[in-house]
Amino acid sequence: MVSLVPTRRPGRVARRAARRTAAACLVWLLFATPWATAQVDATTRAAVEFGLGGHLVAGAWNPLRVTVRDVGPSVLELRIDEGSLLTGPRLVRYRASLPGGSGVTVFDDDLYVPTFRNLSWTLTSGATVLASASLGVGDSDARPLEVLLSSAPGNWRAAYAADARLVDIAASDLPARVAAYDGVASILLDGSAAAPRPEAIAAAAAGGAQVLLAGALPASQAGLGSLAGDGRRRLGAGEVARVAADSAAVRAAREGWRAPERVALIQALAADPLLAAPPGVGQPVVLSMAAAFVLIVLLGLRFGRAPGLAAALVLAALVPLAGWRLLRPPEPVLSGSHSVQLGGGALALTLDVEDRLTLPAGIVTVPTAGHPLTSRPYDVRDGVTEIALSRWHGVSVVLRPVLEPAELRFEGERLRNDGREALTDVVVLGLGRQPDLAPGASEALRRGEEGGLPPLLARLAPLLPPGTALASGPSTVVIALPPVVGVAGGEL
Amino acid sequence: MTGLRLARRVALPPPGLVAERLRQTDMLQILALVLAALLFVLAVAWPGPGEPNETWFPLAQTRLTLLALTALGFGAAEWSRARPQLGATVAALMLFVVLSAPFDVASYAASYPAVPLWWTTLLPFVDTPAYFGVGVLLGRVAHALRVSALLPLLVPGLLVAGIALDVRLGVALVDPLTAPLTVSGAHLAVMGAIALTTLTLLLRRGRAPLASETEAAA
Repeated sequence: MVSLVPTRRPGRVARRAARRTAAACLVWLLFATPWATAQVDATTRAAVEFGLGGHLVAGAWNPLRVTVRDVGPSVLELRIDEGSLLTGPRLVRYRASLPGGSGVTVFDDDLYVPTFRNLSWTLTSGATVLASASLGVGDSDARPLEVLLSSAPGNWRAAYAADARLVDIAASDLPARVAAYDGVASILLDGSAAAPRPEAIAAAAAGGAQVLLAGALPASQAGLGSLAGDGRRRLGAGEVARVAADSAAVRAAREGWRAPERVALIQALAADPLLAAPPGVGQPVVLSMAAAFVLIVLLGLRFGRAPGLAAALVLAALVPLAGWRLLRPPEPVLSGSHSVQLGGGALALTLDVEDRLTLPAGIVTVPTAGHPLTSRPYDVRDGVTEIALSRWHGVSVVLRPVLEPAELRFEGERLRNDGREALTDVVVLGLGRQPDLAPGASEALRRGEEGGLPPLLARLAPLLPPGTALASGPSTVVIALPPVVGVAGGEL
Repeated sequence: MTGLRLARRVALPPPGLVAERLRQTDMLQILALVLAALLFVLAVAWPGPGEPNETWFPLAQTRLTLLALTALGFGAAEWSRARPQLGATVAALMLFVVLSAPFDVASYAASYPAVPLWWTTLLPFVDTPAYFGVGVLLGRVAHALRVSALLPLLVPGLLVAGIALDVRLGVALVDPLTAPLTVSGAHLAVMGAIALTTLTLLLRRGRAPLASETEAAA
């Protein structure tokens, strides 16, 4: 049977199919490629990362990095709702201005993230939203981070508790700012991954983290090994220690380490409010003066005719001036600050609390980033903390922790004042009172009288390990944490 | 130029007349009452040691309300007097403002409110003549309606009505109770306009009195 329909040759069919495919590709190239390019462009023009390696720790300072490319001046705005069903919304707002410009601009900061119900942020440049996102209550995790710098992080799982928050991040993600490690409990390096910068490790240790160097580090990471000294060295509020490269040793080191409770230290520091409302003038004085004024005015008007009226008017002009001088408090906003320096070795973590008390209702400002000691709404705008307060109310603001050279440190069997101010009320927990230390002076440790500490030192002492040295400076409390194994000389 | 022309047409009451008006028993008694009330508020509201000082708030409210009530009352009672006498009464009421100012300034100094001092100082100088003018109008209307006997009720009633109106509108236009607490342009505009009209009418030179002597006698 002869078919009337012409049969297609296989070669022609293949060519047609190829042409169709080419046309489809052309159409895709014409329409889809610009869109795809735009997508790529949009995703790479701006990147925002909260937390160490993107892991936020609630109730702690977290690093923040914004990277923008070829974008003009932009603004990062963050809204954190730390309220609850009981209290309603309680907003924390953070705003940072980025200069931008051609090329890549990187902005680094540290941000206190309270335990939140909702966190949302927007990065805008003019009317353009470069990036935005939000996190819910499920992302609010207050567990501190256990950072692993290893090419095989799974090998170390057994070294940590079941509920530990292990994170595996790149060494290049570790900032060299002490506040960024507020939410970090430990950092484990086993030498198998790229080495972090020594200053980042020093900042982490000084910030209160335990840095564990597991096993023998490669020669390229020898600088890190020197931080641990002979095997274990206190650095600021934390320590750097060498441990054997097995999970049991790491677990033992983790269990044997107890970092100072910074939140408790801050609360003890701020327990006594520095500021009180001005005492003012007593009621009897004010009433006596007012009654005398009324009496003189009425008598002057009744019996003094025009001179009496003139005298009353003069008195009415003078009394406010005198009242103003007598009753007006000197400043509308009173300020004060407490500070504690938590030192170990040559480095120290300084925790500052600024107190503000405002007499008129208004916004009080603290010129650095911080957060109120008790939960309340506040703003951080370009590094300035702003808190709205009602009349005659005060607030304590915990500032971002900073790294400083230690003023007080153990030097073998001696205690040395490396600061520029004299230290008084020197005491070593377990040894008792020590002599006052002039700037640059050092004194041999000795047994001294116990007890009789000033109230602030007495509140701090139970929060610190035995062998810790405490002293009062003119504007700060200085703490030298003991060398890792007891007091020098092994008396404790 | 308009201001100069207006100034030329204004005749301030002679100081002797004002002093004499202030010495009269009714004025002196009311002034004593106002100052005693402020003394009482001071005694009640002054805080103990270490407590926030909130004295200015009740004191400023009481002062302005009493001054407004006094001005309204005197205006309603004296609407029929000759213009110089009315001018002397307004001037005497302005002296009430001056003589009660030390209470306001002293409590302001101690309380540190957020409202600026100029506002609490200026406000009674605007509200007092304005309420006096409203009082004069109230007196004339009550006389025309032959309900002058109800003036002791109408005076506080009008003040309460003003407060209620402000509460209803949600704007501080005439309310002397809340006016000291926040700077209000609307209040200043309304009361300033009334005060300016009142003073212009009362202090104009060479015009007939607001009410004829016959009416006054009646």
